[in-house]
Formats: sequence, C-alpha cells, structure tokens
Amino acid sequence: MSSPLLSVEGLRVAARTRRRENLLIEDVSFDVREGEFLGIVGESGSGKSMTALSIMGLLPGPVVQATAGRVLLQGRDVLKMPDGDLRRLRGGAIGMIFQDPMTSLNPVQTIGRQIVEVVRLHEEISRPAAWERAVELLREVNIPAPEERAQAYPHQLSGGMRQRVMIAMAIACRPRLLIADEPTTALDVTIQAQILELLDRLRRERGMAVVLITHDLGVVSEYADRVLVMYSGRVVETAPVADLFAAPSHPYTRGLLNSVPPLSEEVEELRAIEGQPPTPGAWPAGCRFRPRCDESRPACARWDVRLVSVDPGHSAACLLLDDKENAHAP
Amino acid sequence: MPHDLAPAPEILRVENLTKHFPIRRGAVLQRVTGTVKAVDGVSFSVPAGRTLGLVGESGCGKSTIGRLLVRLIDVTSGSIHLDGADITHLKGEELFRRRQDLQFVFQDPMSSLNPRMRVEDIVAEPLLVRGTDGVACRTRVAELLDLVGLSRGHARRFPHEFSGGQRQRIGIARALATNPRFIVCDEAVSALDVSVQAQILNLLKRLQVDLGLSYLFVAHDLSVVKHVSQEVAVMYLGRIIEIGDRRRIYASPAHPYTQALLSAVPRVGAVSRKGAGRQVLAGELPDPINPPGGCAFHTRCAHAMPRCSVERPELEHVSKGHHAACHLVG
Repeated sequence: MSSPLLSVEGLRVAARTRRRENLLIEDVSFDVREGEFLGIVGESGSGKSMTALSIMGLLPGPVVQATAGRVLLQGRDVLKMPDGDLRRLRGGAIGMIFQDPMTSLNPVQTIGRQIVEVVRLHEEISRPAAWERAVELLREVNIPAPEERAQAYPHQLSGGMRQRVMIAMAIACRPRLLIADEPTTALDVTIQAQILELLDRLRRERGMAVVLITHDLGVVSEYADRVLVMYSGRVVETAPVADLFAAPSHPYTRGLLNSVPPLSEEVEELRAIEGQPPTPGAWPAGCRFRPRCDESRPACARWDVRLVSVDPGHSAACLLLDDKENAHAP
Repeated sequence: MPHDLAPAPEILRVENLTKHFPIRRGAVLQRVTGTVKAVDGVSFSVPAGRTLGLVGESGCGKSTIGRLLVRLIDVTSGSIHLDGADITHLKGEELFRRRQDLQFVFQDPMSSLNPRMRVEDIVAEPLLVRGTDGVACRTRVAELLDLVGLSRGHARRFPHEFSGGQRQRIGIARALATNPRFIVCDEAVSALDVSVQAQILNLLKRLQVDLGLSYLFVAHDLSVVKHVSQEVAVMYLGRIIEIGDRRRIYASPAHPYTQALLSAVPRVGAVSRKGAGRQVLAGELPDPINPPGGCAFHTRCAHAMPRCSVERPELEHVSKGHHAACHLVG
C-alpha cells in the first residue's frame, strides 16, 4: 500500500502563557489518502479548526504552538518547515478555504488580480498568461461570464460567488490536498448544495484529497468517505462514513446523532446531550465526555481512554469498548 | 385565504402585511431611488398554543415579519391582530401595555443581553418597567430561572460568564417575564452547537405545553423548523409561496421552490449520496430591488412556463390546510 498523502501523528497543540499551558488538542492522529474525502466533525472548542491550522502551518504562534507530534505531507514534516517552504506549500501542495470569504479576500483588488497574484507566487508565468488562467479557473468553478467577473471586486459578488472565487484561488496551483474549514456555514442551503457539489466534482476530476471541517453531520454523511469525530481536543471516533452512521460506537457520536432533528421521521422530543462542551483548559480527568455521558462509570474518571478498534478502519475512544465483557453490565 | 384549518382559536392574525424599505441616495437630499419589498402582502394566522414555522433563505423577509409582529418596525400596509385586537398602529402607552403579551427571542444572546447587567437585572427589567416591586421581582426571577433550567446561583452573574446555550436560556427567561402569550423566536437556536441546540429546542417545546405559549419560529434550518412547528410557511422574495400543515409540506411539498429547498438539505444517514437525486437549484436569489415579474421564482424554476414570467400565482388550495402559489397547482 502506498504511503498516505497526509499523516498526522500524535499531534498536540497548546496555548502557552507565562503561567500556564492550556492544551487545545492532544494526541490527534489520522491519515488522508490521495483523492480521499475526509470529514472532521465536532462542536465549538473541539479542536477541529486547530487541527486544520496545524496542517497548514498556520497556528497563531508564538502563543499557540504544536508541542508534540508530526504532520507529514508527502513525507515532509510541516511543523518543522522553514517559513519560505511553508509559503510555497500553502497555495501550492495545500489549498485552503475558510468560512467567511469576505475576510480572506482583499476588498480593494479585483478578484482576477488576486488569483493572478496566487498563480505568479507559485509559478514563473507572465501576467497575461496568469490572467488567462484566472479566467479559466473562474469558469471551472461555475462563475457565469468569467471574463467580466474577473474584473469585479469582492463586494460586488454574493456570498456563494465569493466562496467560488476562494475555491478557484485554492485550486489555482493544482494542490494535492484541499482543506475546507466550514466552507458553507455562512451560506443558504441551496447555495451550500452548489458549493458541495463543486468541491466533490473538483476532487474527482483532479484527484485531489479534501479535508472538510464542519459541525454539520448531514454534510459529512453525504460527502465524506471517512469521518473523524472530535470532542474536547481529541479524536473520539473515526470510521468509514457508512459504519459511523450505521453503528456509532462512542456515546458522544450517538448523542450528536440524536440531537439532530430528523427531516423524514417524527420525533416528539430530542434526546439531547446534557450540559455544555467543556472549554479548553477545563477538561475533566479521564474521559472528557464523562460528565455529559449517560453511560459513564467510575472507571471513566480514572483512565485516559485511547482509541480502540471496533471494526477494521473503525475505532472509538470509550472505556466500554475496551472491555467488551463488561460493556453491558449495569 | 390560507387558513381554513383553525381547530384552536387563533391568537394572531396577519392580513396582507406589507413592508417596503425605501432606498435613499445622496447625503443631503436623500432622494428615494427605489424600494425593497421586504414583505409583500403576507397573510397567515397562528392558533393559540401552536407554532408557525417561517422558513426561507436570507433576504426572503422572514425576519422582517418577526420584527413587524412585535412592532419593532412599522408596517407599510396590512394589519396585525393579536387576540382579536388590532395592534397594527398602536403607539406609546398602549403599545407598551400590549407588548406584555408579545415578546421576542433573538438569535445572538451576546448582543441582545446587556454585558454590564447581572442576570437577575436582565430578567427583571421587563417587570421593573411595569412597576413590579423589588421583592415580587426577586421571587419571579427565581421562578423564571428555574423554568428555563438555570440555577438561582446564576442570578448574580454577568452574561459573559455563560456559554451560548445558557445565554439563550437567559434570553428566554427575560421573554417569559411578563407572561406573554405569543413569542417570536428569530433564529433562536442558529448560533448554538448541535448538542446544545437540541436542549433549547426541547426547552421551547416544554414551555409551550406548560405555559400555553404560541410561537412564530423564524429559522433557515428546515429540520429545526419541522421539529418545533405544527404549521410551516415557506417564503421567497417577500411572499409566502407555500403554507400548511407541517407533515404535508415536508412529505409532499407542492411548490417547486419548497421541493428544491428540502432536497438541498444534507441528510444525516444519507451516506455517500454525494448529491445524487438532488435538485440543485441553479443561480442565486434575484435582486430584491428589482424582482422578476410574474412568479418571482421563475428564473430558477425547472418547471417554468411562459405564463410564469407574466402572471403572478396566488396561493391556491392543494389539499386541506395546504396552499401553494404556483401555476402548476390547482
């Protein structure tokens, strides 16, 4: 089997102040294969965005830093790369898009010029040729009348169009990996459908891997090949998408699935998870989901739970799985 | 008329509600150069103790309706009746007294709760301005905090000390302070994490049963609206294009826009559907200053006929208690 495109191993990220160190993510490991669609789900504070930022070498240092682990992209550790290499990497081998395109785009430059800038930063290419490329990219992301739209400023475009521009920019240099952090959260549902279709089409056509970070289980369910569920800075479950939804193994994953009002059946009352997700730095000892878990046992507070294999490719970090004999004991 | 089912007596009736916002140009003269018909001839009623869900994409006018109902903004034309009394043009003292029955829960509790007031003062404010004395206020505040699932110990704290879900509980407690009969919830759970959102939805439903409240539930999330509402109205560019019993609308939507909207929602459990069988709507919401003639949806509709661009369809009977504004219906 060929080595994965991206391999995150034992990643640990902490925010350091003079007095203390707050862990933001801990012991996060996963692989992304070429052309794979990986979904990372979690609620606010689960560390999903921090994971994305680590992959791109964009952690807001010096306060927030990766303090352990490796992020290997095509065999090279991103965490140890010098700044120059990182800049070539971002927009080169890794493309990225964020939730709010308006804050990522320069408001006083035409979108065409901004794409030209990206292309020329990574390739030796003349301005006119780069402009041609920009128009071509805008066409590829389904922007109508791309020649004219290239002359437009970001404020002249709708939210959905701006996100398309961001995607055009992200794929300009044929990246092997596209990281999308909540790309459709600010968009209406019909526009969200268009953007997701676009991402999946580009993935297929270009053989590019996509890491989609979202809080929306529906999006993950429909598009991802594999899912990573994060809670309080840790991966609590990972599985091929069909397995995750057919047999969720972590109580948190089950709680999350029960929290979403279903569109096709009738549910009188939602089985909500009690309490709030803990804030980073205030994590309980042992299993971090324990205070909200209705299946927790005293042992859950004592043990640091590791991912346990449930099925091939499917693992979850729950003590109840560790000892199957006792799993159903009172 | 879109309301031939009214088993319970109606608490709110809105007829031909219209709100036009003028667009002004120039710093001094402020010439009116156009109007946005944010709400354009909307009629509906809400039976006592029930919920009408109002869905649509951004800019369709759903929030404007909420704000018109509680008279935060003035209507251009049409009427609002609360419990049989015309409140459309109430002013000053009279409006103040009527607002006791009519409260509002906002989307973002952080910007709708005064950061410098303690929780008890926030919740007590609607009582104090109505002349309730201090002791009675304190008892009532304790009662309200209890009702929304906060502890009495929370009363002396400030909003920033709470999580998003708890803040929304404070907002709900404040809305309940005056014993209202009708509450407008404008995207009340949109900013919350899934697990917390489920808690608030359960709370709102429980309060409805216990206190006999009626809601207008404005939201863009179709599964949330389905969960809380008995009746649903779908809006497009300022008009209701479909309204009726929730089950009918979700099981057999009659309007092509409602069909597309429902089909665009990514479904949990629809594993690796990758948009298969989905109607992806082409294009985006037209310019509301210059909406298309005839049926406003004809520019994006897969079933558009020549008639659709000329003649505007009115709400027609589909089945009992189910109406849609489409030439294909009826």
